[in-house]
Amino acid sequence: MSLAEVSWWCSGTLGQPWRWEYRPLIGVWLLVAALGGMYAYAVRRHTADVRRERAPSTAHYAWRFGAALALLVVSSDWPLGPLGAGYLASVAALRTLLLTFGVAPLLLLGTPPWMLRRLLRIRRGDTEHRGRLLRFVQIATIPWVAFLLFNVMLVTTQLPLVVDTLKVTQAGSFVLDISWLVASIIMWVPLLRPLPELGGLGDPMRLLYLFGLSILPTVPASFLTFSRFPLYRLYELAPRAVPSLDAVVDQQIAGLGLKIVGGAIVWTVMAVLFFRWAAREQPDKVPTVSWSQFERDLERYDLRHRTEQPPP
Amino acid sequence: MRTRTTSLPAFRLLLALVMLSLAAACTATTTTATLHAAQDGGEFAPGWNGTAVEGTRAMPAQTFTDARGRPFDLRAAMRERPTLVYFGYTSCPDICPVHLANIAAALDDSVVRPDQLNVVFVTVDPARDDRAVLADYLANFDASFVGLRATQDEVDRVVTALGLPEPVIEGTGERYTVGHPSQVLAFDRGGIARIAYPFGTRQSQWVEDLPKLLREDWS
Repeated sequence: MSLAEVSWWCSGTLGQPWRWEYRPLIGVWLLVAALGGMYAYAVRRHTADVRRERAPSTAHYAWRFGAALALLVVSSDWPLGPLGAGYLASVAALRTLLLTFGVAPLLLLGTPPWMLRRLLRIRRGDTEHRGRLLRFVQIATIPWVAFLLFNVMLVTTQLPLVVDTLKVTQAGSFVLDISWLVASIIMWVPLLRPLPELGGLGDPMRLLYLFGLSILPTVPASFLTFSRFPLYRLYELAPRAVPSLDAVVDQQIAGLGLKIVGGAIVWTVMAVLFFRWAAREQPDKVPTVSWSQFERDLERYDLRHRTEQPPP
Repeated sequence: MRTRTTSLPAFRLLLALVMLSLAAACTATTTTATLHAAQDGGEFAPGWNGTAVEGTRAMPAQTFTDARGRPFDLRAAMRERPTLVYFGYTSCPDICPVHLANIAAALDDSVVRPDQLNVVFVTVDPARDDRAVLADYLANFDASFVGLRATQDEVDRVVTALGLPEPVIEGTGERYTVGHPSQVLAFDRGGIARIAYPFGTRQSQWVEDLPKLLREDWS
C-alpha cells in the first residue's frame, strides 16, 4: 500500500473495486486521537485543580468516552467506513445506527459535567453570564428543537441528491458524518440530561419523545425498503463488494435495518425508562440512593466540596 | 479568582486537524470508471437515456462461438430482434458486472420479456474466458444473456469496426486487467448501432428505454 492510497475519510470511489485489504483512514484516527488527547488533558488539569483528589466517578466517565471512541473507529475506519460510504447502503445504515445509538450517547455519557461546563464556557456560580456557545446549545437542545433538528437531518442525509453528491468526496463524506453525529448528540441531550443548565425532559415526556423518534424514521426507511429501483446512484453503480447482493436487495436491507434495528433500540430504551419511572412512582417504595449515584449527583450539580486554592 | 479555560487551545488544535483533513480530502480520486465514463461523453439522444451513435456503424460479418461451443452469427440474430451488445470480460472488477446486473434487473422489472431482446456479451479476453467461464459468469445475471467468443484479433477487428476503442491489456501475469469499451451498444434489426449506453446507466433508465428499443423508434 503506497502513501497515495491512504485516505483521510471514507468516501465513494466511483468504480474502484472493493478489496479486503486493510486501509486505515487517517482522518478517523486523527479525530479519535485529538478527542482522546483533549479528554486526557482536561482530566489531568481537572485532577490538578481539585488537588489530586480524583473524583471517584471520573473513571466510569472515561470508560464510556473510551467506548465511544472505539465505536467511532469501528464505524468509520476500514472496513465499515469505506463499505458504507461507497459500496453498500446496508452498511451505511449500520454505520448510521452505530453513530446514532452508540457513539453519540456514549460521548455524552462519557463527558463529566465539569468538562461539559468548561466546553460550554459555564463559569462556576455564574448563572447570569451565558456565552454564545452556551446559548446556541441551550436553544438547539430544547426538546422540540432537538427533535426537529434530528429528523430534518435524518431526512436530509438520506436524500439521493445529498448522498450522491457528498459521499463521493472525502470532504463531503466527512461533513455528512460529522453533521449526523452532532445531530445525534443533540437528539440525546433532552433524554440523558447531562447538565442541569441544558434542561431536559421529565419521564413521561421522555417516553413521548422516544415514541416520536421511533415513528418518523419510518418515512425514509419505507422509501428504501419499497422502492422499485436503487435510489442512490452511488450504491447502484458501485462494484459489488458482495457479488450475490444486488443493489435493490442491499437497499431493502438498509431500510429494514434502519426501521427494525433502530426501532428495537428505541423501544428498548423506552421500556427501561418506563419501568424505572414506574418503580420510582410506587407510593410504598422508600427511595434509596447508592453512594456512587450520590457522588454522581454531587458532580452533576456541581456541589462537590472543594477547597479553593489561593491564586499563586 | 483566576479562571482557567483548558478547552480553547485544544479546540483550536482539533479545528486545525479537521481543516487539514478536509484540505487533503478535497483531492479528487480518479478511477477507471470515471475515466471510462469521461470517454463516453456526448449528449443523450432526445427521448433516450443514451447517446445517439453518429454515422452508420454496422456490425461487421463475424461468426462467433457461443458458450456451448456452437457457431453464432450475430448479424443473423440481430435480424430477429433488437440487440444490446457489450464488449467486456468476466474478470472485470468494476464496470462489466454493474452493467450486466442493471440490464438483468431492468429486464426483470420491465414489460419487455428476455425473449424479445438479445443481450450479447462478447468477451475481450478470450484467453481466460473459455466457454465454461463465460456460461457460469452470465448465469449469475440472466439465463437469457448470450456469451460469445472469438479470437483476440477477430474481437479487436469487430470493436474497431464499430468505432470503439480497441481493448488494451493492462498489467502482466495472471491477474492482468483489460481496458475495454464501457458502452453498451443498442443495434436495430438491420445490425446498425443506434444508441450507446454509457457506464452509469441506471436500472430505472433501462426500464424506460427497453420498450423503446423494441419499438425501434429511433427518431
